[in-house]
Amino acid sequence: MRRTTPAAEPATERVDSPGWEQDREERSRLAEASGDSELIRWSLSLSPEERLVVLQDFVDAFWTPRHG
Amino acid sequence: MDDEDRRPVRFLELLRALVDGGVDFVVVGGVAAVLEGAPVSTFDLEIVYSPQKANLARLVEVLATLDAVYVDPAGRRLSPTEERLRGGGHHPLRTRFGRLDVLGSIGGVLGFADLMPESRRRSIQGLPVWVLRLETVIASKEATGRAKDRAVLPMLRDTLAECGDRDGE
Repeated sequence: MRRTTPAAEPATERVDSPGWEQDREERSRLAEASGDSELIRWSLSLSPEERLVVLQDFVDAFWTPRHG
Repeated sequence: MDDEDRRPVRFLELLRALVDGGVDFVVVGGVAAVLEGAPVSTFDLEIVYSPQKANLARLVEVLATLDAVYVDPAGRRLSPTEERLRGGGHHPLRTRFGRLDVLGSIGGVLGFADLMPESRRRSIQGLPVWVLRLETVIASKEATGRAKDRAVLPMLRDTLAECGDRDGE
């Protein structure tokens, strides 16, 4: 998120400034959304059979360390 | 928790048993979302069954082969029967292939006949399986209002948006 008064800002942002924190949150949100989009596109590229295999692998991987 | 509770769900084995047993059902919930393309996880298979008498008999027979009993905190071993299933509702079961939730309807109102038009036929390892469309999965999870359903909604909606008018395959 860009702030609207750049002339009043120091050349280097302070990491503890409210603006930096807002930027960090926005970058984090965008990175997360971007990651989700890639994950979704990858999932949609699979056949339904392959999606079920991925889910089963996840369940098995989750289960084994806890119950195996 | 006994050994049966420790069994991880085997999705394909459960689907095969139901299809081979001639049961009329629709896959709903998390597995439906996955089959429709959403990258989410779930640890059980949820189905809505046809309440036709002959189908109830087939379902009970299949559930018996799966050693299905109700999930019961009191530890009782209650088996699903036609009489119990005839009443609709929610039947949380554990089987030799893990958790299987058998539902008479979703949201208490949408039964098999309502959901079939909202479903599409998928072929999973050669098994013909009716799967609830993602739009209706989303609507059903919105209707429940449960925290675990609300948590997954953004991913489901993003997947639907990404699908556009594709069929998800």
